[in-house]
Amino acid sequence: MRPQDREDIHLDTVSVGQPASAQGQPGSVAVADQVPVPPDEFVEAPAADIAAQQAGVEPKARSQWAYARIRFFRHRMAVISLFVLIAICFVAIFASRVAPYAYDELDLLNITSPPTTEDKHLFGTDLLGRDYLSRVIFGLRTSLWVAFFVALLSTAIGTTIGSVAGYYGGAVDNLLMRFTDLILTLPGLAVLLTAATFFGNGDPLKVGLILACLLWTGIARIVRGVFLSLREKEYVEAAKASGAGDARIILRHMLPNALGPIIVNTTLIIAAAILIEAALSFLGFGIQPPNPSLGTLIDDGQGEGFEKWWLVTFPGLVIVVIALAINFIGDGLRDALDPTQRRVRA
Amino acid sequence: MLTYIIRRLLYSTVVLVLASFLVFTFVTVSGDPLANLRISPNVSELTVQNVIDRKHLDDPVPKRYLYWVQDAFTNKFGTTLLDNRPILPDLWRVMKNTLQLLIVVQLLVIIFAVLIGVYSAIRQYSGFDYTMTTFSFLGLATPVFWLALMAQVAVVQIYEKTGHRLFPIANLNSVDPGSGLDFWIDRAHHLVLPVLVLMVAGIAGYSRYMRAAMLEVINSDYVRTARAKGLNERRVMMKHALRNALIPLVTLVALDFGTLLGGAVVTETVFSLDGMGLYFVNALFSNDPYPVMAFLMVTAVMIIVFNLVADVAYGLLDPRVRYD
Amino acid sequence: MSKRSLWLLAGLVLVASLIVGPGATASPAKTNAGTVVFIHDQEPPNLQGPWVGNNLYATSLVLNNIWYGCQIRNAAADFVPRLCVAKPKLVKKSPLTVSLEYKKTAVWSDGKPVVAEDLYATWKVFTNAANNVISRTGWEDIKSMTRGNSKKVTIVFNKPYADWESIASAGPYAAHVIKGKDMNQTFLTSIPVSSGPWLFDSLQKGVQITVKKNPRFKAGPQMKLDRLVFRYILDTNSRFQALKASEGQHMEPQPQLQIADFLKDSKFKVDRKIGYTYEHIDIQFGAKGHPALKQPYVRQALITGINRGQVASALYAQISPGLPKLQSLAYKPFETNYKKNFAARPFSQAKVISILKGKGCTGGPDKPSAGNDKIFSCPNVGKLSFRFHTTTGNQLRALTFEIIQRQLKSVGIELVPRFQTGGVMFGTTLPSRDWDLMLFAWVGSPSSSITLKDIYGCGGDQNDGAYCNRALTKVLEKVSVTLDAAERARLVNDAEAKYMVKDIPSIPMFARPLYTISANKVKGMGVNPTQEGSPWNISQWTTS
Repeated sequence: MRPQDREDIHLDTVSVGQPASAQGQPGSVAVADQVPVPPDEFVEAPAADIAAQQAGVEPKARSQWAYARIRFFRHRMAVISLFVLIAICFVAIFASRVAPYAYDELDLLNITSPPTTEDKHLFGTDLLGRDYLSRVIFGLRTSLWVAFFVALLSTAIGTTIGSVAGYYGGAVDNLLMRFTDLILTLPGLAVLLTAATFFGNGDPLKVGLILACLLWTGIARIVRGVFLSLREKEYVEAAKASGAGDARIILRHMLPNALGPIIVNTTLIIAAAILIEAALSFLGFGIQPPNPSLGTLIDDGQGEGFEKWWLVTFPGLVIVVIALAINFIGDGLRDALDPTQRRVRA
Repeated sequence: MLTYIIRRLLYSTVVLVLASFLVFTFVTVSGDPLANLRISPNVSELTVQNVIDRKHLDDPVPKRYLYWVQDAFTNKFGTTLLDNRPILPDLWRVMKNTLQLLIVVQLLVIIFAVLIGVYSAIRQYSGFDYTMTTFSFLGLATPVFWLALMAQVAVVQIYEKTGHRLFPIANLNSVDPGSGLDFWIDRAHHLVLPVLVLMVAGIAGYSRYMRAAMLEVINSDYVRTARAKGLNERRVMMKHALRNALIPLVTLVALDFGTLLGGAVVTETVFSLDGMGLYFVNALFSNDPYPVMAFLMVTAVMIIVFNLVADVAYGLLDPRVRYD
Repeated sequence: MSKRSLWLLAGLVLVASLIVGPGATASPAKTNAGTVVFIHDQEPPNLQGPWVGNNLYATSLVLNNIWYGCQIRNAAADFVPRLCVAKPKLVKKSPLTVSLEYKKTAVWSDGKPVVAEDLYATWKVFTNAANNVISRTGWEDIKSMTRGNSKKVTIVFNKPYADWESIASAGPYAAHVIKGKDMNQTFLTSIPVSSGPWLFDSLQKGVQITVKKNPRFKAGPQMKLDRLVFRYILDTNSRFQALKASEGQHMEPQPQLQIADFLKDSKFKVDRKIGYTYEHIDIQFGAKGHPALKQPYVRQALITGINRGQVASALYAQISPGLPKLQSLAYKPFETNYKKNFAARPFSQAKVISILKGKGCTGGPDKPSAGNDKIFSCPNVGKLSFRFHTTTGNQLRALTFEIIQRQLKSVGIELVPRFQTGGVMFGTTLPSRDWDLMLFAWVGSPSSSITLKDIYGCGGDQNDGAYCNRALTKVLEKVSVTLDAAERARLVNDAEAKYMVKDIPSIPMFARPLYTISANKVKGMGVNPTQEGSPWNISQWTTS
C-alpha cells in the first residue's frame, strides 16, 4: 500500500488497511468509554482494495445485488436480527397502539409496583404510577428516532463531503479533508458534552443534530477513497467527455460503487448513536423529560433506588437487544456487500 | 520521515488554533459564566465586578480569546473563572489518575484480545470461537454505564446480603490508604471494578479485530508458502502470522489511546474516580469555560500526538509504507 | 469445544484471577474506631469560606466548626450561645448598637484568646473591596466596632439592619493569623487555627477533607470522635451505594427516592425535617411574558387549577409522607410565624372553568376531565398556552411538571415544557424575562423575610418576574429595617394576605424536606435545617 494520489495524503488512506483511522468510524465518539473499535472485523477496504474489488465485480448491478441478498440470507444471526429489528421498529412506530397505556398516564394510587400481569403492567410502574412498559416503548421510539435521524443525516453529510472531495480532488479535497481532520482532532465525547450542555437543551432533534455533526467523518473518508480510485476510470472519463454534468456523474456513475460500504457504515452508526444517546442522557446531558428515552429512563430509574430493579433493568436490556441486532445486521451486510471479506469468512 | 512529522505537527497546530477559537466562542457565547454567581442572594456587586475585570468578561469574544491564548501560554492555562484556582495542577492530577486506569485497562485488554483473537482465528468455527464471538457482540452492544451500574449494585448487594466486601465501589483509595505498597494494593483494589467494566468493551472490540487480522494473514500467500515449505505450524503462526497480524492492532491501540485519554467519563462518574472525565463534567456543570478549554486543548494535543505515533509506528512496523 | 480450547479458557481464568486476586483478598477498608466518614456531593473548591466560586453549603459544613460562632443555630433553627457567654444584645435602636461577649474559655487552638480584635479583623475582611467575598450585606453597614484584647464587643451600625444577629453571631477569623495576608490567597488548602470543636487536618483534592478533634476547645463540649472525614462523591447513586457498602457512615442526601430504601433498612437511621428551601412557580409579569399572565383572573385560574397537595403527596409519599403544601412565600410550615395565607386559594377544577368562562374565555372544556385537549382562549390575551421552564437533571422537578401539566390540561390550560440546564436557565433565561412560568427553588434561611423586598418589591434585585405592587413594596421595605422579629412577622403576614395572595406573583409549592442518613453504628446525627448542617452538634457524635 502506498499513498496513491498526492504526496501529502495521509495515512487515512494508507494506514493499517483501515482507511478511516479508528476515530473515523462509527462507535468512536461513541460509547462513552467503550474502546472505539467497530464491531467485528469491520475494516473498510482501502481505496486500492476497493478499486481491485470493483474490477472483479460482476458487470450487471442487478446480479451484484442479487448475490448480496443471497449472501446476507446465509448469515443466520443477521436474518434473525433483521426480524427482531423490524419487530422493534414496528412497536416503536405504532407505539401509541401497541403500548397498553399512554406514556404519561398517571396512576397515583398504583406507584412503583413491580412487574405484574395485573392491569398489564408487565414492566411494573414508576414513581407516578405510569406503566413502565409503555414508558419503555415510547422511550424506544425516541431513542430509535434519534438513532435513525443521526444515521441518515451523518450519512448524507459524509457522502456529500466525501464524494465532492474525492471527485474534484486537489484544493477542494484538501480543504474538505482538513475539515474532516479538524473534527477528528476534537475529543469527540468532550465536544459532544459541551455542545449538549450549551446547545442541546434536551431536545431530541438537537441532540440528534449534534451527534450527526460528529459521526459523519468515517463515511466521508470511505466515500472519498472510492471516488479517488474511480476518478481516473475510463467510464468516468467517457461520461465526462460526453458532456455529463458533475452531479450526474457523481450520482449515477460513481456513488453506486460506494453504496456497499456506505450502507454497512450507516447501519453501524445507528447502533453507535443509540449507545451514545443513552450515555449522554445518563450523564444528564442528553434527552430530557418529559420525552422518555431509554437513557433517561435508566437515569431516572437509578434515582429511585435499586429496590425498584425493573426501572433500570428493562430499558438497559432493550438497549442491548437493539444494539446487538443492529451489529449482527451490520455483520451480515458486510458479508453481503463487501466481497473482499468473503474470503475471510468463507 | 522527519519532514513528514514536522509537516503534520505544523498543520495540526493550525487545526488546533482554529478548533480552540471555535470552541471558545461557542462556550462563551452560549451561556452566562456568571450565572451561578448572580443567583446567590445579596451578591456583592463589587465582587462581581472584580471577576469581570480579572477575566475581561466585558470585552468582545475575540479579545477574550486572545487573553485566553495569552494565559494558556504564559500562565499554564490560567485560572478558573470564579475562585481563581490554577487549572494546570488539577489537570495533571486527574490526568495521572486517568492514565493509571487506562494503561492497566489497555494492557489487559491487549493481552486478552490477542490471546482470544489468535486462538479464535486458528480454531475458526470452534466452540471457543463461537463463544468469544457471542461475548464480543454482547460486549459491544452493552452500554458501559449500564454495565458499570449493574456491577456496582451487584457488589453492594453481595456485601449487604453476605457481609463480604468484594471490591470498593467508589473513589480511588480508601480513607486511610496507607503508604508504599499498602497504598498501591489499596489503589489496585479500588481499580478492579472500573477496570473490569472497561475491559469488557475493549476486549470485545479488539479481539474481533485481532481475529480478523489474523485470519487475513493466515489466508495470505506468504503464510501458505511458509507452510508449504514444511515449516513447523507453531513457528509459522508465531513468527509469520502473529507478527504481521499485530501491526494493525498496535496502531489501533495508539490511535485509541489519545481518544481514551479524554476520560472514561461514564466509568469515572459511576465509580467516582478523580479522573479527567469527572473533572470535565464538573467543569461543564459549573459553567466555567476556562477548565473546559484547558481540558479540550490537552486532550486534543494528546489525540494529535498519538495519531502521529500511530502513523509513525505503522511506518516502522510495516516496511511497505513510505512517507514522502 | 475441544480440549485445547478448554485449557486456554482455564488459562484465561487463571490470569484473570491473578490480576484480580490481590485486590479481592485485600482486607476491607479499615478506618479507626474514632472516625466517621461523611459522604457529601459537592467538594469545596478551597477552604476560603464565603468567597466567590466557593460552594457555600459544602464549604460551610467544613468551616462552621473551625471559625466557630458567637452563637449557632440548633436543629430547631434557634440561636444557642457557643463562643459567647450569652446571646448578643440589642443595646440601642438608633443608631443600631449591638453588644456581645466572648467566653473566657473561648481560645484559639494555638492558645491565644478569642477577642474583639478578631471580629474587627473579620469585619475588615468582608468590607475590603479587593476581597472577592460573595456578599458584604450587613458588614458594609457597620460604622464602628470595638478593637483590642477585650472579650466584650460593641458594634455600631450606620443604619438599621434587621438581620444584625447574623453579623453578631458570625464566627470570627483569627486576627493574629490573617494579619497582613492577602485574603484572596489565604486558607486555600489549609487552616492553621480553630476556635471550634475541630481542627483542619488535611485536604486531598478531588477525594476528601479531614478534620480532627481540637483538644484545646473549651468553650463547649468537646468532640468525642478523633476525626471526621468528608468524602466527596459526585454521582448521586454512587453516594447511596457507597453508604450501603459501608464506605461511609453518614450523608445529607437531597430529597431522592432512594431514601425510601434506607427507611426500610434496619441498618440505617434516617432523620428528616422540613427545610427552608422552597419550590415555587414564578409568574412573568413583564412585556416578554404571555399577555394573559398580566390578567389577575388568569393567575387565579392557574393557582386554583394546580392541586398542590397532590404534587407534594405524590412525590414525597414514600420518603416524606404527609409533607404539607406550602401556603406562604415568606415562612415555612415549621416556623412559628408561618401563616397559611395561600389557603385562601384552594384547589378547585370546577372553579377554574367558571372563572375563565366568566371572563369570556372560550374553546375550553365545560367540565374538567383527564382526557381533555380543548384549550381556553381568552379575550385580548389569546390562548392559555404557557411556556413552563425548569431545570434539567432534577427528577422531582420533572415529575412536578408532569403532574401540574396534567392537572391544568384537564381544565383547558396548556403548559409547554422548556427544560434547561441550571446555568442557562438562571444565567440567561431568568434575567431575560423571556418566560411565562418558571419552577425553581429559593434557598431560604431563618431571616428570609427580611430580604423579601429583593424578590417581590418593585425593581428588586432578584425580582425577575417583573412583579410590582407599590403598596406591597412599601411594606417590604419597612420590614427590611424593622429590628424586632415579631413586628416583622406581623407586617409580612399582613402584607402577604392583603397583597400577595391577591396578586399571585408566585405560586408556593412546598418546602423541601431535608434528610440525614447514618449507619446504626454511629450515633448523634440529625437534620439541622440551617447552614450549620448536621455537624452542628458534632460533640454528640459517637461511633461504636
